[in-house]
Amino acid sequence: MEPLASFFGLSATLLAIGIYGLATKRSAIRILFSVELIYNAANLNIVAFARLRNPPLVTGQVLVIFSIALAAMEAAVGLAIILLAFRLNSDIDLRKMTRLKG
Amino acid sequence: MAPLQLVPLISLAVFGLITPPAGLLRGGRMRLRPAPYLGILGLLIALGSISWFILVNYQPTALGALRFDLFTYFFGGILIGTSTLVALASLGFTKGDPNEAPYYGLLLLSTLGMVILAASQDLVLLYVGWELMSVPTYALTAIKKRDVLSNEAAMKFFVLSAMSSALLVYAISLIYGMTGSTSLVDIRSILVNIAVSQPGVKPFGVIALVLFIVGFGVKMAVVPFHMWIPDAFEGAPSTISALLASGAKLAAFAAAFRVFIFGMGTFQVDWYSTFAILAIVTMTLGNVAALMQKSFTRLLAYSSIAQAGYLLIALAVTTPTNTLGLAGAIFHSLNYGILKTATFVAAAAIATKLPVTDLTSFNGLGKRMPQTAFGITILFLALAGVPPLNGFFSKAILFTGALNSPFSWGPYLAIAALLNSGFSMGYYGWVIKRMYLDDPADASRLPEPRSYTRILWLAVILTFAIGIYPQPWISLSQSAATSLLSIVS
Repeated sequence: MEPLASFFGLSATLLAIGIYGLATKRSAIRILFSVELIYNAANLNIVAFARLRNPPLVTGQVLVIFSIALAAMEAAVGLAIILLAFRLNSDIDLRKMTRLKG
Repeated sequence: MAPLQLVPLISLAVFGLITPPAGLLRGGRMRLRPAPYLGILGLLIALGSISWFILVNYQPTALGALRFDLFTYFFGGILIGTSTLVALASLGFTKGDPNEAPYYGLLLLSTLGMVILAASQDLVLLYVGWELMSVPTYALTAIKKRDVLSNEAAMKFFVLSAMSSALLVYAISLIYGMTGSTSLVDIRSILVNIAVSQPGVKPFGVIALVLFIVGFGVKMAVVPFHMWIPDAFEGAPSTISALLASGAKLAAFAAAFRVFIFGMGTFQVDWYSTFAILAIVTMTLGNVAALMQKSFTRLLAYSSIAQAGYLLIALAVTTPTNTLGLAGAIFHSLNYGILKTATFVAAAAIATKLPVTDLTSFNGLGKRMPQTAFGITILFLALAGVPPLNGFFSKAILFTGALNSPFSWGPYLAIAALLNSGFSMGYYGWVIKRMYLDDPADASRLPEPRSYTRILWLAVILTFAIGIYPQPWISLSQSAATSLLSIVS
C-alpha cells in the first residue's frame, strides 16, 4: 500500500473510534479521550500530508504544533470542569446530569 | 511599530491580560474595584478604534493571515459591541464575587478570539481564534463554582464544543491535504478546477465540508447540533448566556462566511441546497420548540436557534453574483447581537428578584418591573420583525436575497422564513400578553437594578435608531458583503 493511503486509513480509523466513543460513552473522562483521539487523527493526517507531499511542506508541522498546544489547553479547562463536577456530584456520568431538563 | 490595524486586537489582549492581576488590588479601605473598569476600558478602546477605521480611515489591507476589510471591521464592531454590553451589564452581577477580575479577563480574551475569527483568512489562525473564543467561555459558564446547574451547563457545553473543535481540525487537515495550503486565498484559487484536474479528491472535499458544517454548526446552533443550547443557556449566568447567544454564535457565523462563501465558494459541489434544508429545519424546530417552553431562558434559547436559521439563509443563497442575502445576514447579525444580548440582560434583571425558569412569574410584570417589561416588549417585537424596528429591515433584505437567488428553491426558502417569522410572534406575543394583561399573584413593585436597565434602554434606543434610519447600515453591510468576496493583497 502506498504510504499516504495507510496513514490516511489509520487516521480515519481513529476518527471513527473517536466518534463511536462520543456517541456511546457515558463517563466524561472517556468522552474527553474520544475527543483527543479525533484531535490526534487530524494531527496525524496533517503531518502525513505535509511530509509526503512533493516537495514536502513545513506549514503542516507548524499547524500541528498549534493544534497539540490548543488541544492540551482545551483538555486542561475541560478536566477542571470535570473535577468540579465530581466534587459537586461525586459522579461524572453525563447521562445522570438531568437537572437541566432537555 | 505594529500597524495601526492591530490596535483593537492589542487593546483586547493587553487589557485582557492585565485585568486578572489588577483584581488583586481590590479590597482595603478604599473599596477599589479596578478590574471591571479596566476591562470595559479595553473594550471601549477596541470599539472606538474599529469605528475610527470604518468611518475615517478605511482601506482594506491584509497582514499575513489577518485580513482587515469592511467585513472584519463590521463584524469586529458587532462582536466587541456585544461584549461591551455584556461587561456593562455584569457590573452588578459580579459585585463581591471573588472571581470578578478573572471574569472580565476571560471576557476580553474570548472577545479577542471572536475578532480574530472574523479577521482570519488562514485556517491556522481561524483555528487559534476558535479555541481562544471557546476555552474562556467554558470557564465563564462554570464561573459559579458552587452552583450545580452552572457546572452541569458547562459540562454539556464543553463536551459538544470540544467535539466541534476536534472535527474542525479534522476538516482543516483534509482541506490541507487536498490543496497543500492553509490560506483561504490559495484554497479558493486551487479549488476552482480541482474537480476536473484531480477527480479522486472530490470525496475528501465533501467530507471536509460536512465536518466544517458540524464543527461550525455546534456553535452556530444549527439543528441537529443544538442540544446543548437550551441547557447551557439556562444553567449559565444570564450575562454569559448573552455572550454565548450573541458573540460566540455570530463569530462562528463570521468564520463560516469566510470559509464557505470565500474559501470554498469555488468548490464544485452543491452545498447550497444542504444549507437551505438546514436553514428551514433549524428555524422551524426552533420556533416550534420555543412555543412549548415554560421557562423564559429556554424560550430565549430556542428563539436564538430560530434566528440562527434565518442567518443560515445567507450561506444557502450567496453566490459571487448575488450578495444581497449575505448583506442581509451581516445587517441581521448587528440587530441580532443587540437584541439577543439585551433580552438576556433583561432575563438577568428579572432573575435578581423572580425565578426566570417559570413563565408564570411574568404575569403582570408590566406593573411590577415597568422598565424591564417595556424593554422586553420592544426587543421581542424587533426580534419578530415588526416595522419600524431594526429587525424588520434586516429580515426583509435577507428574505429578498433568498428570492433573488439563482436557485429554483429560493422562493420556497423565502416563504418558509416568512411563515416562521410570523409564527414566532406566537410565543413573543404570549410573553407580552402575560406581562401586560395577566394578573400577578403578588402585585408589589420590585426594584430594578440600574446596571441592567441602563443596557435595556441603550438597546431600545439603538433598536429605534437603526429601525427609523436604516439606510447607512444597509449600505455599510452591502459593502461589507462585497468586500468579503474581493481579494485583498
